[in-house]
Amino acid sequence: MDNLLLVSVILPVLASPIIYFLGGKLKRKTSWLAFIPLAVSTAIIVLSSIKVFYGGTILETYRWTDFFNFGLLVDGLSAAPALMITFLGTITAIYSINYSDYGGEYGSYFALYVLYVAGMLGVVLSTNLLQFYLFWELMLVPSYFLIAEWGYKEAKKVAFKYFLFTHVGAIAILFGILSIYVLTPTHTFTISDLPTQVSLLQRSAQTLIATLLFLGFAFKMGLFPFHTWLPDAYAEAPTPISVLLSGVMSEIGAYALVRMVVTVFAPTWIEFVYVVAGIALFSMIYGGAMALVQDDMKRLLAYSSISQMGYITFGLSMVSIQGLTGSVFHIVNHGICKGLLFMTVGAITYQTGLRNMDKLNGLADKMPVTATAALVGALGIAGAPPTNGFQSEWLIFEGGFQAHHPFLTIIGVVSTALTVGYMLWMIRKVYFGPLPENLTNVKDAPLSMLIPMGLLTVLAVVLGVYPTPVLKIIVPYVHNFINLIGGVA
Amino acid sequence: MVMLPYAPWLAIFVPAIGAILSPLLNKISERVMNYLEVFFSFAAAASALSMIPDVLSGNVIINGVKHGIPFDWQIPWLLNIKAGVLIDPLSVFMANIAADIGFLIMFYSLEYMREDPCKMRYWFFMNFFISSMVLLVLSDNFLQLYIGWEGVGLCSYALIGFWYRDEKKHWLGIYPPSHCGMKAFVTTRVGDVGLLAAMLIIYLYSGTFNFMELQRNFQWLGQLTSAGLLTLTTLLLFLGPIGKSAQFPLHVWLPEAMAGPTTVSALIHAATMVKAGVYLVARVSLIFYAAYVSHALAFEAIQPFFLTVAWIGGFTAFLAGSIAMVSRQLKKVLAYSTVSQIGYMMLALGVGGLAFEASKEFVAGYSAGVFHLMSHAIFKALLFLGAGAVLHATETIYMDEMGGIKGKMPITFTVMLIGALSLSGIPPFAGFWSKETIFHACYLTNHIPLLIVAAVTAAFTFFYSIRMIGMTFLGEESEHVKELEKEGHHIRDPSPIMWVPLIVLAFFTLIGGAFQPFLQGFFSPVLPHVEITSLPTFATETFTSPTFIVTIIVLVLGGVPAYFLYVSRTASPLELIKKSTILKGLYTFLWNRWYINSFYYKVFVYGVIGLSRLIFRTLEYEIDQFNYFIADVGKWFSNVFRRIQTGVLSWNMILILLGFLFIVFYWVLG
Repeated sequence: MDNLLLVSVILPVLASPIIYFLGGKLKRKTSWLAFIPLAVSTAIIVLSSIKVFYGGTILETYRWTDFFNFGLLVDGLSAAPALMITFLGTITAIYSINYSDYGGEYGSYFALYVLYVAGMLGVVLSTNLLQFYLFWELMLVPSYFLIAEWGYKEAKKVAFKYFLFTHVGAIAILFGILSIYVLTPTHTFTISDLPTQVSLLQRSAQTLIATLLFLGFAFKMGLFPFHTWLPDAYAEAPTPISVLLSGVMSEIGAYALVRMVVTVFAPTWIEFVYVVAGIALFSMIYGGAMALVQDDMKRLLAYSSISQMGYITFGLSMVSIQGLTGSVFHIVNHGICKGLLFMTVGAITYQTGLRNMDKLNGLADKMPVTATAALVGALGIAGAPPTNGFQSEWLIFEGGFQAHHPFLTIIGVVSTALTVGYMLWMIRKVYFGPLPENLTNVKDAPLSMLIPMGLLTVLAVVLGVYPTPVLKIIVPYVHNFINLIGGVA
Repeated sequence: MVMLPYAPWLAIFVPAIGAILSPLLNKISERVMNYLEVFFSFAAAASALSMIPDVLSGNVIINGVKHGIPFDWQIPWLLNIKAGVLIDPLSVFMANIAADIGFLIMFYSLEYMREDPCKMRYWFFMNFFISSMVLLVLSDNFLQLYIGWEGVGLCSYALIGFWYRDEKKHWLGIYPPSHCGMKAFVTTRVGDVGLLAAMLIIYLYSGTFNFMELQRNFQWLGQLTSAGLLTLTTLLLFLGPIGKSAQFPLHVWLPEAMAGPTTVSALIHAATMVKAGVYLVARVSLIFYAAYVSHALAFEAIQPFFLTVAWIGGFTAFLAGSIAMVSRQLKKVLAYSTVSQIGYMMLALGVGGLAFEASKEFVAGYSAGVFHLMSHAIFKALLFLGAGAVLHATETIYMDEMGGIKGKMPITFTVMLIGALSLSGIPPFAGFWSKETIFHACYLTNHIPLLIVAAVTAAFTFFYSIRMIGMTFLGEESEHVKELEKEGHHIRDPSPIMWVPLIVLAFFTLIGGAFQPFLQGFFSPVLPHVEITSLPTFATETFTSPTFIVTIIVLVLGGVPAYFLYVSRTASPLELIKKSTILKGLYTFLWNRWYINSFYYKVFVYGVIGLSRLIFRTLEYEIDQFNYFIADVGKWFSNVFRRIQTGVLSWNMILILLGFLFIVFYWVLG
């Protein structure tokens, strides 16, 4: 089978209309229709990643027009995020079964859901800028409808805000892509050609394009000050979608940053280290401080995402093996832990109808499994061993020292104390303390929610103790890149 | 001999397996779980003990990979680490303190936690703690140590907040248990980030986390010095011990850590975890000393580090000792006392480090610190477990609600008295000998100001020890006790499961001083030129040292007023405070913990939250409003231009005509 990767992306897209039409008949079971193609995609990506683990890469190329080909690539950089997307997408489909009745519109919800996941997977596997942009839109449009239709409170307004903001980012990216096409000597859209092609450009052009792309991805990641859409969207989206928005889509911005800015515009990137690291550190602290004063759990987690994107960007700005590896690894770890945390919030909302921390208390008694999962997730975000968050965070900071920015790095390390603060505050508020009377009848979440949460919890601890499998995928890629630019080894 | 390659790994993994199995065992039967969990900790203790003969016969593993079970963490181009164990006298000594005292306390828990419904969680975290603590001390590299370091922190957090339901009876003054746990975790985390940063900086310059490699090749020290980062790095490193061992300025969490079960306080917050900081300082001292001896490190370069250690230790001892004199809660007295005693250990290690030039003085300070660590671990565990028995019997945490129970709990009273006398440094108990060696080290190295601080603290110690015993056991029965008796709740000694560990610990407190020569011999492989003195020589030296006179003076100074106030009760402390404004001011100052705690809450808790809230209301709000402003501008723009689209046909015709004319004119004239 030479076109497995194509199957992994196309299968969910093809499944989408079928899901839509069968949704009315199958009702709640529709989610299994979404689960099956996504599980197949996951299997394909796992197989491909194993190949990458043993030192290979998988590239499929297809002719599109006379102009250019499009392709799908799993290499050391895309394997880990692709694994994240498919895995989290698959288990969130299970999680979605009982989460809501989606106003009876099972068909539309799950049809959009698989399109959304397929779009994200496509973005990560793209080898071509135009293709990248198409998939980028394929992930934005369904997510807009998912938020607008099934979100909370002022969902329509929030979704519109989300769409506008990410589109401003998308336009910046489009400008960047078109500038690359127009300015490069061979008029290329192919990502693998970019490093050599771009290096032929004038420095000012390089800077301009890099800035445009960085802006676009910064909007997606929600770095300060481009973040105002993010707390609204993450908080008001239906929780399974929040899992994907925060756990996966934010990270796609980070992934694209590596693929299209850091590795392509390396000299410019290193030149602007203080600007980027400054934005990253500020996002880290600002997101953490804002998370500290939220009373809505989902908003707290949304601000925490801003802070965590700061960590990832910080690691990327410190160009070194440790820093880049740590950041790419953190993409995975943040996805696992933040996805897990959003799932626990969803479980609580499902059981109590509440997500305001002032009204919640003492749930550890009633929801012990959820509480354990939330504690592991919180420790992961806080970067405490034995969870995976620790492994990536110390690599990120080690990268900072390797790149000879000890003082910037110390600021970063110190700000992790803030993370511990808001995470434990949430745990304490929600799970500890006396149980209010109106919550005495609460039970733990149904199995369809506990299983995904359990899987992520185990994964968080396993990767915390033994991170080697993922690191061995990432490190050779980063090592090659660092060798290429002759940077800090 | 046979055990060695496996014993360290067994000591780490057996309790960990016990922890992991606890949910399963709980499903089978609660009784099975209780006994098996204690057995797992026993196996850890046995493994730890089995390493002692090996170390004595000079069998030391400095490269865990070759002898132990290799555990590959290496990743090409990224990491150069293999998980391994470092078996030397220091690490085996610490592992034994953790595992052996851990086992005694687990045994005691069988009875102490008998009525608690959440035993599974208790066993899980206790065994997980023993495993992490042994991992911490046996690691041969910084990264593994850090994992253990955070692991014990996690267990501490979970066990302080063990009664997470925050029922009023478990509150510690104004703080609910879940708050206390969080306070502990966040405060120690502040220290941990310093340690993390420091070890990453060291890794950058040395390319290794391994202690032995750091101790063999000193290039990294030279590079650190020339980069001007040495002092910064060592001070950041010391932040870790400051947090974990509750030293000033991060000492505020330990008193609140008493919210957990008393067994937890005994094991984690007295005997073992809080000593992790002392262990780390002792560990890096060896590295620095080796570097100094091989001329890779100038004394001036490392002096700031040891000065900080010594003075932080001395000041903390004084600070915490003074607060312990006014505390109302039995366990809080012991908590402040722990902080104070750890201060002594830091002081001794610091003083030793400041005497690098003279190996004899270095050894004196170093071994004094380690010696006191051991004796304190034993007698403080004893005091806490005794306090646990008292708390169980009297159902209160306040000393003024006890009193007069000496006759009712004779065993508990006797062992607590032994513990308290040892804590105060009264011969012949262990605490006397180890404290004397610290004083002697200060004297030998000529650090008279530090000696004075230590001596004053000793007076405080004797005062609060007598006060504690007096208020708890002596005098009249309090109203609370009388009421309990009236309700038919008889105060009596606990069952043998609880008092047997007490007797064991009391026995070792009694003879602990005799371990000094043994310890010296034990440590001789890692310390230079240790002169092993025989027991009689050690005793004569101690009694003839000029510091012994100092000891007698301060014991009188601290003991006499305490005797009159709390034993013979010829004067009432409350009356005294009422009469004198100075005493009253002093009392308020100490009662409010030098205002440090409230200051931290104001600045670092409410301050940070307040500032964040302010930013949230202003900056965050304004940025968001700016978005809507842009939207409004867009709307306004469309509204203005929409007017042109009138839809009236005649207007459109006229404008078309005008446009046409304009073009024609432009053509003709242009």
